[in-house]
Amino acid sequence: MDRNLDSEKSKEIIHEQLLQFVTEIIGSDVVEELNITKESIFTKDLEMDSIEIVAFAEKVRVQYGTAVDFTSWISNMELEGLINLSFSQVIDFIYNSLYVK
Amino acid sequence: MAKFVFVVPPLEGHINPTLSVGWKLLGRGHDVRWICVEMEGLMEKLPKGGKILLLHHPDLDDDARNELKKKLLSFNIQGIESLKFLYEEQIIPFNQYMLNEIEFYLKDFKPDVVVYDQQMFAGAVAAYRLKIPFVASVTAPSSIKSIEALPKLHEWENNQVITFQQRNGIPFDERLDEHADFVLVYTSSLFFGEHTLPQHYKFVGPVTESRPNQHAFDWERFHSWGDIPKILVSIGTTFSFKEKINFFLKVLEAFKSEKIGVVVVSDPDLFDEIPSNFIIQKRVPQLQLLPYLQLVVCHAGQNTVSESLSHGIPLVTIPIAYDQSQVAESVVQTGAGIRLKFNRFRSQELRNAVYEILNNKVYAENAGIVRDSFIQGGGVNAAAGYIEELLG
Repeated sequence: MDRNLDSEKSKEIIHEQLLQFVTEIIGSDVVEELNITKESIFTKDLEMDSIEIVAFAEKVRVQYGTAVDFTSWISNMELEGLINLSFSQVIDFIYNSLYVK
Repeated sequence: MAKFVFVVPPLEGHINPTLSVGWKLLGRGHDVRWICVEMEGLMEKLPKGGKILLLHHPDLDDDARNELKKKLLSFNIQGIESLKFLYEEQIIPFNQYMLNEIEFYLKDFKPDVVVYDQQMFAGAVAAYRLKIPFVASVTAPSSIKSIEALPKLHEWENNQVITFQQRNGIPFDERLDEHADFVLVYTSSLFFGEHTLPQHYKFVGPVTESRPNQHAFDWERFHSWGDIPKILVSIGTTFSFKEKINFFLKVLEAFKSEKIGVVVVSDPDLFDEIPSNFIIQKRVPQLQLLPYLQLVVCHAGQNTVSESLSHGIPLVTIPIAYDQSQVAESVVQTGAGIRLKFNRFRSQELRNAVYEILNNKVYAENAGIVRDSFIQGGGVNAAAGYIEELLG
Protein backbone atom coordinates (compact mmCIF):
# COMPACT_ATOMS: atom_id res chain seq x y z
CA MET A 1 0.00 0.00 0.00
CA ASP A 2 1.02 3.56 -0.71
CA ARG A 3 2.62 5.27 2.29
CA ASN A 4 0.31 8.28 2.13
CA LEU A 5 -2.72 6.08 1.99
CA ASP A 6 -1.40 4.20 4.96
CA SER A 7 -1.01 7.35 7.02
CA GLU A 8 -4.50 8.51 6.01
CA LYS A 9 -5.89 5.25 7.23
CA SER A 10 -4.02 5.40 10.55
CA LYS A 11 -5.23 8.94 11.12
CA GLU A 12 -8.75 7.86 10.33
CA ILE A 13 -8.53 5.19 13.02
CA ILE A 14 -7.23 7.71 15.54
CA HIS A 15 -10.02 10.09 14.56
CA GLU A 16 -12.65 7.44 15.20
CA GLN A 17 -11.09 6.66 18.57
CA LEU A 18 -11.06 10.33 19.63
CA LEU A 19 -14.63 10.76 18.49
CA GLN A 20 -15.53 7.86 20.75
CA PHE A 21 -13.87 9.62 23.72
CA VAL A 22 -15.67 12.87 23.02
CA THR A 23 -18.95 10.96 22.75
CA GLU A 24 -18.35 9.39 26.15
CA ILE A 25 -17.75 12.83 27.64
CA ILE A 26 -20.43 14.98 26.04
CA GLY A 27 -23.01 12.36 25.05
CA SER A 28 -23.92 10.73 21.75
CA ASP A 29 -26.98 12.87 21.08
CA VAL A 30 -24.90 16.03 21.33
CA VAL A 31 -22.16 14.62 19.11
CA GLU A 32 -24.77 13.82 16.44
CA GLU A 33 -26.06 17.36 16.50
CA LEU A 34 -22.63 18.93 16.35
CA ASN A 35 -21.37 17.48 13.06
CA ILE A 36 -17.77 17.18 14.24
CA THR A 37 -15.04 17.43 11.59
CA LYS A 38 -11.25 17.35 11.79
CA GLU A 39 -11.31 21.14 11.93
CA SER A 40 -13.60 21.22 14.97
CA ILE A 41 -12.18 23.11 17.93
CA PHE A 42 -12.64 21.56 21.34
CA THR A 43 -13.47 24.71 23.30
CA LYS A 44 -15.53 26.48 20.63
CA ASP A 45 -17.24 23.93 18.41
CA LEU A 46 -17.53 21.19 21.00
CA GLU A 47 -18.02 23.64 23.86
CA MET A 48 -15.79 21.55 26.08
CA ASP A 49 -14.65 23.23 29.27
CA SER A 50 -11.40 22.74 31.16
CA ILE A 51 -12.67 19.84 33.23
CA GLU A 52 -13.94 18.01 30.14
CA ILE A 53 -10.64 18.53 28.35
CA VAL A 54 -8.89 17.01 31.35
CA ALA A 55 -11.26 14.01 31.15
CA PHE A 56 -10.50 13.73 27.43
CA ALA A 57 -6.73 13.81 28.08
CA GLU A 58 -7.13 11.07 30.65
CA LYS A 59 -8.89 8.83 28.12
CA VAL A 60 -6.13 9.41 25.59
CA ARG A 61 -3.54 8.54 28.22
CA VAL A 62 -5.27 5.30 29.14
CA GLN A 63 -5.73 4.31 25.49
CA TYR A 64 -2.24 5.02 24.16
CA GLY A 65 -0.12 4.63 27.28
CA THR A 66 3.47 5.80 27.32
CA ALA A 67 3.85 5.73 23.54
CA VAL A 68 1.96 9.01 23.35
CA ASP A 69 2.86 11.59 25.98
CA PHE A 70 -0.36 13.48 25.55
CA THR A 71 -0.45 14.56 29.19
CA SER A 72 2.79 16.55 28.98
CA TRP A 73 1.89 17.92 25.58
CA ILE A 74 -1.42 19.33 26.77
CA SER A 75 -0.13 20.46 30.14
CA ASN A 76 2.51 22.56 28.36
CA MET A 77 -0.06 24.19 26.15
CA GLU A 78 -0.57 27.92 26.65
CA LEU A 79 -4.04 29.39 27.13
CA GLU A 80 -4.26 30.57 23.53
CA GLY A 81 -3.24 27.15 22.21
CA LEU A 82 -5.79 25.43 24.39
CA ILE A 83 -8.57 27.76 23.29
CA ASN A 84 -7.78 26.96 19.64
CA LEU A 85 -6.98 23.26 20.01
CA SER A 86 -8.53 21.33 17.11
CA PHE A 87 -9.26 17.70 16.41
CA SER A 88 -6.69 17.57 13.63
CA GLN A 89 -3.92 18.84 15.93
CA VAL A 90 -4.61 16.04 18.40
CA ILE A 91 -4.78 13.46 15.61
CA ASP A 92 -1.45 14.66 14.21
CA PHE A 93 0.18 14.62 17.60
CA ILE A 94 -0.90 11.07 18.31
CA TYR A 95 -0.04 9.93 14.79
CA ASN A 96 3.44 11.48 14.98
CA SER A 97 4.09 9.97 18.40
CA LEU A 98 3.08 6.52 17.21
CA TYR A 99 4.48 6.33 13.71
CA VAL A 100 7.01 9.07 13.09
CA LYS A 101 10.22 8.37 14.88
CA MET B 1 -10.26 52.03 67.30
CA ALA B 2 -8.53 51.10 64.06
CA LYS B 3 -9.27 51.97 60.46
CA PHE B 4 -9.88 49.29 57.82
CA VAL B 5 -10.68 49.56 54.17
CA PHE B 6 -12.04 46.98 51.73
CA VAL B 7 -11.20 47.41 48.04
CA VAL B 8 -13.88 45.64 46.02
CA PRO B 9 -15.02 45.28 42.38
CA PRO B 10 -18.63 46.13 41.48
CA LEU B 11 -19.69 42.48 41.68
CA GLU B 12 -22.13 41.33 44.27
CA GLY B 13 -20.50 37.96 44.82
CA HIS B 14 -17.21 39.64 45.61
CA ILE B 15 -18.67 42.35 47.82
CA ASN B 16 -21.06 40.26 49.92
CA PRO B 17 -18.49 38.38 52.04
CA THR B 18 -16.67 41.65 52.79
CA LEU B 19 -19.93 43.13 54.08
CA SER B 20 -20.12 40.36 56.67
CA VAL B 21 -16.48 40.68 57.73
CA GLY B 22 -16.83 44.49 57.76
CA TRP B 23 -19.96 44.22 59.88
CA LYS B 24 -18.00 42.21 62.44
CA LEU B 25 -15.18 44.77 62.47
CA LEU B 26 -17.66 47.63 62.84
CA GLY B 27 -19.21 45.76 65.76
CA ARG B 28 -15.81 45.65 67.41
CA GLY B 29 -15.68 49.44 67.26
CA HIS B 30 -13.53 50.03 64.19
CA ASP B 31 -13.92 52.52 61.36
CA VAL B 32 -14.59 50.50 58.19
CA ARG B 33 -14.92 51.76 54.63
CA TRP B 34 -15.37 50.25 51.19
CA ILE B 35 -13.63 51.54 48.08
CA CYS B 36 -15.87 50.70 45.12
CA VAL B 37 -17.47 52.16 42.02
CA GLU B 38 -21.11 53.09 42.21
CA MET B 39 -23.41 50.11 42.18
CA GLU B 40 -27.15 49.76 42.47
CA GLY B 41 -28.25 48.81 45.98
CA LEU B 42 -24.80 48.97 47.52
CA MET B 43 -25.63 51.79 49.94
CA GLU B 44 -28.63 49.89 51.34
CA LYS B 45 -26.58 46.75 51.83
CA LEU B 46 -23.78 48.39 53.74
CA PRO B 47 -23.66 47.40 57.43
CA LYS B 48 -24.56 50.17 59.85
CA GLY B 49 -21.70 52.59 60.39
CA GLY B 50 -19.84 51.56 57.24
CA LYS B 51 -19.00 54.15 54.60
CA ILE B 52 -18.28 54.10 50.89
CA LEU B 53 -15.34 55.80 49.21
CA LEU B 54 -16.66 56.07 45.70
CA LEU B 55 -14.42 55.46 42.73
CA HIS B 56 -15.26 57.19 39.48
CA HIS B 57 -14.85 54.72 36.70
CA PRO B 58 -14.33 56.86 33.59
CA ASP B 59 -16.01 54.26 31.41
CA LEU B 60 -19.24 54.22 33.29
CA ASP B 61 -21.01 57.04 31.47
CA ASP B 62 -24.12 55.92 29.59
CA ASP B 63 -22.56 55.56 26.14
CA ALA B 64 -19.67 53.49 27.39
CA ARG B 65 -21.99 51.38 29.49
CA ASN B 66 -24.16 50.58 26.46
CA GLU B 67 -21.09 49.84 24.40
CA LEU B 68 -19.81 47.41 27.01
CA LYS B 69 -23.20 45.78 27.26
CA LYS B 70 -23.31 45.28 23.50
CA LYS B 71 -19.88 43.74 23.62
CA LEU B 72 -20.84 41.38 26.42
CA LEU B 73 -23.95 40.27 24.61
CA SER B 74 -22.21 39.62 21.31
CA PHE B 75 -19.25 37.84 22.83
CA ASN B 76 -19.45 34.15 23.47
CA ILE B 77 -18.22 34.36 27.04
CA GLN B 78 -18.33 30.69 27.85
CA GLY B 79 -15.76 28.08 28.69
CA ILE B 80 -12.00 28.61 28.80
CA GLU B 81 -12.16 31.60 26.49
CA SER B 82 -14.13 33.51 29.11
CA LEU B 83 -11.01 33.54 31.30
CA LYS B 84 -9.12 35.45 28.62
CA PHE B 85 -12.01 37.84 28.12
CA LEU B 86 -12.38 38.37 31.85
CA TYR B 87 -8.76 39.39 32.34
CA GLU B 88 -8.02 41.21 29.12
CA GLU B 89 -11.29 43.09 28.72
CA GLN B 90 -12.39 43.55 32.28
CA ILE B 91 -10.13 42.87 35.24
CA ILE B 92 -6.84 44.34 34.00
CA PRO B 93 -8.24 47.57 32.47
CA PHE B 94 -10.49 48.05 35.47
CA ASN B 95 -7.60 47.75 37.93
CA GLN B 96 -5.53 50.14 35.87
CA TYR B 97 -8.31 52.75 35.80
CA MET B 98 -8.81 52.47 39.52
CA LEU B 99 -5.25 52.36 40.79
CA ASN B 100 -4.62 56.10 41.16
CA GLU B 101 -7.93 56.76 42.82
CA ILE B 102 -7.44 53.87 45.24
CA GLU B 103 -4.06 55.26 46.14
CA PHE B 104 -5.57 58.69 46.64
CA TYR B 105 -8.18 57.32 49.05
CA LEU B 106 -5.61 55.29 50.98
CA LYS B 107 -3.39 58.36 51.44
CA ASP B 108 -6.38 60.34 52.59
CA PHE B 109 -8.01 57.76 54.91
CA LYS B 110 -4.75 56.21 56.15
CA PRO B 111 -6.18 52.80 57.06
CA ASP B 112 -4.27 50.44 59.35
CA VAL B 113 -4.99 47.50 57.05
CA VAL B 114 -6.17 47.23 53.43
CA VAL B 115 -8.32 44.23 52.60
CA TYR B 116 -8.40 43.86 48.81
CA ASP B 117 -10.54 41.57 46.77
CA GLN B 118 -8.14 39.23 45.04
CA GLN B 119 -9.36 40.47 41.65
CA MET B 120 -8.83 44.09 42.72
CA PHE B 121 -5.07 43.64 43.00
CA ALA B 122 -4.68 47.37 42.37
CA GLY B 123 -5.60 47.58 46.06
CA ALA B 124 -2.57 45.45 46.95
CA VAL B 125 -0.32 47.51 44.67
CA ALA B 126 -1.47 50.77 46.27
CA ALA B 127 -1.12 49.36 49.79
CA TYR B 128 2.35 48.02 49.06
CA ARG B 129 3.48 51.34 47.64
CA LEU B 130 2.17 53.15 50.73
CA LYS B 131 3.59 50.52 53.11
CA ILE B 132 0.22 49.65 54.59
CA PRO B 133 -0.33 46.00 55.65
CA PHE B 134 -2.63 44.20 53.22
CA VAL B 135 -4.86 41.14 53.31
CA ALA B 136 -6.44 39.39 50.32
CA SER B 137 -10.10 38.45 50.22
CA VAL B 138 -10.76 35.47 47.95
CA THR B 139 -14.39 35.00 47.00
CA ALA B 140 -13.51 32.89 43.95
CA PRO B 141 -11.20 30.20 45.36
CA SER B 142 -10.60 28.61 41.96
CA SER B 143 -8.52 31.68 41.12
CA ILE B 144 -5.91 30.40 43.58
CA LYS B 145 -6.12 26.84 42.36
CA SER B 146 -4.30 25.23 39.47
CA ILE B 147 -5.88 22.44 37.47
CA GLU B 148 -3.20 19.76 37.71
CA ALA B 149 -3.46 18.63 34.11
CA LEU B 150 -3.68 22.16 32.69
CA PRO B 151 -1.26 24.23 34.77
CA LYS B 152 -0.80 26.85 32.07
CA LEU B 153 -4.28 28.22 32.62
CA HIS B 154 -3.49 29.28 36.15
CA GLU B 155 -0.02 30.40 35.14
CA TRP B 156 -1.49 32.61 32.45
CA GLU B 157 -3.90 34.12 34.96
CA ASN B 158 -1.09 34.83 37.42
CA ASN B 159 1.09 36.31 34.69
CA GLN B 160 -1.58 38.84 33.81
CA VAL B 161 -1.53 40.04 37.40
CA ILE B 162 2.27 39.95 37.74
CA THR B 163 2.66 41.99 34.54
CA PHE B 164 0.18 44.53 35.89
CA GLN B 165 2.10 44.75 39.16
CA GLN B 166 5.43 45.22 37.40
CA ARG B 167 4.02 47.86 35.09
CA ASN B 168 3.05 49.72 38.24
CA GLY B 169 6.40 49.53 39.94
CA ILE B 170 6.12 46.36 42.03
CA PRO B 171 9.45 44.53 41.81
CA PHE B 172 8.23 40.95 42.38
CA ASP B 173 8.00 37.99 40.03
CA GLU B 174 5.05 36.62 41.94
CA ARG B 175 1.65 37.96 42.90
CA LEU B 176 1.41 40.34 45.84
CA ASP B 177 -0.91 37.76 47.41
CA GLU B 178 2.29 35.94 48.34
CA HIS B 179 3.39 39.03 50.28
CA ALA B 180 0.03 39.66 51.92
CA ASP B 181 -0.15 39.09 55.67
CA PHE B 182 -3.14 36.84 55.15
CA VAL B 183 -5.20 35.52 52.28
CA LEU B 184 -8.75 34.93 53.46
CA VAL B 185 -10.43 32.16 51.51
CA TYR B 186 -14.17 31.84 52.05
CA THR B 187 -14.41 28.08 51.80
CA SER B 188 -12.94 25.00 53.50
CA SER B 189 -9.92 22.92 52.47
CA LEU B 190 -12.27 19.98 52.17
CA PHE B 191 -14.31 21.74 49.49
CA PHE B 192 -11.28 23.38 47.87
CA GLY B 193 -9.49 20.08 47.43
CA GLU B 194 -5.86 19.15 47.91
CA HIS B 195 -3.39 22.00 47.81
CA THR B 196 0.09 23.10 48.80
CA LEU B 197 -0.75 26.71 49.59
CA PRO B 198 1.43 28.50 52.14
CA GLN B 199 0.44 29.02 55.77
CA HIS B 200 -0.86 32.54 55.36
CA TYR B 201 -3.78 31.26 53.30
CA LYS B 202 -6.65 30.93 55.78
CA PHE B 203 -9.70 28.87 54.94
CA VAL B 204 -12.29 30.62 57.07
CA GLY B 205 -15.38 29.14 55.38
CA PRO B 206 -18.20 31.13 53.78
CA VAL B 207 -19.43 34.23 55.62
CA THR B 208 -23.03 35.37 55.29
CA GLU B 209 -23.81 37.31 58.46
CA SER B 210 -25.61 40.62 58.55
CA ARG B 211 -27.09 40.79 55.11
CA PRO B 212 -30.38 42.52 55.55
CA ASN B 213 -33.08 41.03 53.37
CA GLN B 214 -33.75 43.56 50.65
CA HIS B 215 -36.11 41.60 48.50
CA ALA B 216 -39.85 41.14 48.84
CA PHE B 217 -41.05 37.59 48.34
CA ASP B 218 -44.34 35.80 47.84
CA TRP B 219 -44.08 33.77 51.06
CA GLU B 220 -47.80 33.08 51.07
CA ARG B 221 -47.65 31.22 47.77
CA PHE B 222 -44.43 29.53 48.84
CA HIS B 223 -45.92 28.15 52.06
CA SER B 224 -49.17 27.21 50.31
CA TRP B 225 -47.23 24.47 48.52
CA GLY B 226 -47.17 22.54 51.80
CA ASP B 227 -44.92 19.48 52.16
CA ILE B 228 -43.74 19.02 48.58
CA PRO B 229 -39.98 19.33 47.93
CA LYS B 230 -38.91 22.88 47.19
CA ILE B 231 -36.03 23.90 45.01
CA LEU B 232 -34.37 27.15 43.98
CA VAL B 233 -33.16 27.76 40.43
CA SER B 234 -30.68 30.57 39.98
CA ILE B 235 -28.02 31.23 37.37
CA GLY B 236 -26.71 34.35 38.96
CA THR B 237 -26.92 38.02 38.26
CA THR B 238 -23.97 38.30 35.87
CA PHE B 239 -25.35 36.71 32.75
CA SER B 240 -27.77 38.47 30.50
CA PHE B 241 -27.64 36.85 27.13
CA LYS B 242 -30.24 35.07 25.07
CA GLU B 243 -29.20 31.54 26.09
CA LYS B 244 -30.82 32.41 29.38
CA ILE B 245 -34.22 32.16 27.74
CA ASN B 246 -33.54 28.64 26.48
CA PHE B 247 -32.32 27.71 29.92
CA PHE B 248 -35.46 28.87 31.64
CA LEU B 249 -37.70 27.20 29.06
CA LYS B 250 -36.01 23.90 29.90
CA VAL B 251 -36.54 24.53 33.60
CA LEU B 252 -40.21 25.22 32.98
CA GLU B 253 -40.56 22.09 30.86
CA ALA B 254 -38.78 19.96 33.47
CA PHE B 255 -40.95 20.88 36.46
CA LYS B 256 -44.27 22.33 35.36
CA SER B 257 -46.09 19.02 35.85
CA GLU B 258 -44.17 17.82 38.89
CA LYS B 259 -45.03 17.88 42.57
CA ILE B 260 -42.11 20.14 43.28
CA GLY B 261 -42.20 23.80 44.29
CA VAL B 262 -39.81 25.80 42.13
CA VAL B 263 -38.48 29.26 42.95
CA VAL B 264 -36.79 30.75 39.90
CA VAL B 265 -34.57 33.81 39.98
CA SER B 266 -35.32 35.45 36.65
CA ASP B 267 -37.18 38.21 34.93
CA PRO B 268 -40.79 36.88 34.94
CA ASP B 269 -41.29 38.54 31.54
CA LEU B 270 -39.21 35.78 29.97
CA PHE B 271 -42.05 33.36 30.74
CA ASP B 272 -45.33 33.18 28.87
CA GLU B 273 -46.94 31.03 31.53
CA ILE B 274 -46.23 30.70 35.21
CA PRO B 275 -47.45 27.33 36.55
CA SER B 276 -48.92 27.24 40.05
CA ASN B 277 -45.86 25.40 41.43
CA PHE B 278 -43.53 28.20 40.27
CA ILE B 279 -42.52 31.50 41.81
CA ILE B 280 -40.51 33.66 39.45
CA GLN B 281 -38.88 36.82 40.72
CA LYS B 282 -35.99 38.93 39.55
CA ARG B 283 -34.50 38.91 43.02
CA VAL B 284 -35.26 36.66 45.97
CA PRO B 285 -34.21 36.68 49.64
CA GLN B 286 -31.90 33.73 49.04
CA LEU B 287 -30.48 33.40 52.55
CA GLN B 288 -33.95 33.50 54.10
CA LEU B 289 -35.24 30.94 51.62
CA LEU B 290 -32.48 28.37 51.99
CA PRO B 291 -33.68 26.82 55.28
CA TYR B 292 -36.89 25.73 53.51
CA LEU B 293 -35.26 24.16 50.47
CA GLN B 294 -34.24 20.57 49.64
CA LEU B 295 -32.11 21.38 46.63
CA VAL B 296 -30.57 24.23 44.65
CA VAL B 297 -30.03 24.29 40.88
CA CYS B 298 -27.43 26.88 39.93
CA HIS B 299 -24.61 27.99 37.64
CA ALA B 300 -21.96 26.96 40.21
CA GLY B 301 -21.19 30.50 41.24
CA GLN B 302 -19.05 30.28 44.35
CA ASN B 303 -21.44 32.22 46.57
CA THR B 304 -24.66 30.42 45.75
CA VAL B 305 -22.87 27.08 46.07
CA SER B 306 -21.32 28.06 49.41
CA GLU B 307 -24.57 29.41 50.78
CA SER B 308 -26.43 26.23 49.80
CA LEU B 309 -23.79 23.94 51.27
CA SER B 310 -23.68 26.07 54.43
CA HIS B 311 -27.24 24.90 54.90
CA GLY B 312 -26.34 21.33 53.97
CA ILE B 313 -28.36 21.60 50.76
CA PRO B 314 -27.19 19.49 47.77
CA LEU B 315 -26.94 20.96 44.28
CA VAL B 316 -27.43 20.44 40.59
CA THR B 317 -24.75 22.60 39.01
CA ILE B 318 -24.83 23.89 35.45
CA PRO B 319 -21.61 25.89 35.02
CA ILE B 320 -21.50 28.52 32.30
CA ALA B 321 -18.16 30.32 32.37
CA TYR B 322 -15.23 31.70 34.33
CA ASP B 323 -14.32 29.51 37.30
CA GLN B 324 -17.71 27.82 37.52
CA SER B 325 -16.54 24.59 35.93
CA GLN B 326 -14.08 24.18 38.80
CA VAL B 327 -16.63 25.00 41.46
CA ALA B 328 -19.00 22.46 39.89
CA GLU B 329 -16.18 19.93 39.97
CA SER B 330 -15.72 20.50 43.71
CA VAL B 331 -19.42 19.84 44.24
CA VAL B 332 -19.12 16.55 42.35
CA GLN B 333 -15.87 15.61 44.12
CA THR B 334 -17.43 16.09 47.57
CA GLY B 335 -20.48 14.07 46.49
CA ALA B 336 -22.79 16.99 47.26
CA GLY B 337 -24.37 17.19 43.84
CA ILE B 338 -24.60 16.49 40.12
CA ARG B 339 -23.26 18.49 37.20
CA LEU B 340 -25.00 19.23 33.88
CA LYS B 341 -23.95 21.15 30.75
CA PHE B 342 -25.41 24.60 30.29
CA ASN B 343 -26.04 24.62 26.55
CA ARG B 344 -26.64 20.93 26.11
CA PHE B 345 -28.69 19.54 28.96
CA ARG B 346 -32.26 18.49 28.25
CA SER B 347 -35.16 19.16 30.55
CA GLN B 348 -35.49 15.42 31.07
CA GLU B 349 -31.90 15.26 32.37
CA LEU B 350 -32.52 18.13 34.74
CA ARG B 351 -35.66 16.46 36.06
CA ASN B 352 -33.80 13.16 36.50
CA ALA B 353 -30.90 14.85 38.30
CA VAL B 354 -33.30 16.59 40.68
CA TYR B 355 -35.14 13.36 41.50
CA GLU B 356 -31.88 11.46 41.88
CA ILE B 357 -30.84 13.92 44.59
CA LEU B 358 -34.24 14.18 46.25
CA ASN B 359 -34.61 10.39 46.41
CA ASN B 360 -31.08 9.57 47.47
CA LYS B 361 -30.13 11.04 50.81
CA VAL B 362 -26.39 10.50 50.34
CA TYR B 363 -26.17 13.84 48.50
CA ALA B 364 -27.68 15.73 51.42
CA GLU B 365 -25.42 13.82 53.82
CA ASN B 366 -22.35 14.81 51.81
CA ALA B 367 -23.57 18.40 51.69
CA GLY B 368 -23.81 18.18 55.50
CA ILE B 369 -20.18 17.06 55.69
CA VAL B 370 -19.15 20.12 53.65
CA ARG B 371 -21.31 22.31 55.91
CA ASP B 372 -19.46 20.99 58.97
CA SER B 373 -16.10 21.71 57.33
CA PHE B 374 -17.27 25.28 56.68
CA ILE B 375 -18.21 25.77 60.32
CA GLN B 376 -14.77 24.62 61.41
CA GLY B 377 -13.22 27.48 59.41
CA GLY B 378 -14.46 29.92 62.01
CA GLY B 379 -16.27 32.20 59.57
CA VAL B 380 -16.62 35.89 60.18
CA ASN B 381 -15.03 35.80 63.66
CA ALA B 382 -11.91 34.13 62.34
CA ALA B 383 -11.72 36.49 59.36
CA ALA B 384 -12.07 39.61 61.51
CA GLY B 385 -9.59 38.12 63.97
CA TYR B 386 -6.87 37.72 61.35
CA ILE B 387 -7.34 41.30 60.20
CA GLU B 388 -7.16 42.63 63.75
CA GLU B 389 -4.00 40.60 64.38
CA LEU B 390 -2.19 43.08 62.15
CA LEU B 391 -2.80 46.01 64.44
CA GLY B 392 0.42 47.03 66.13
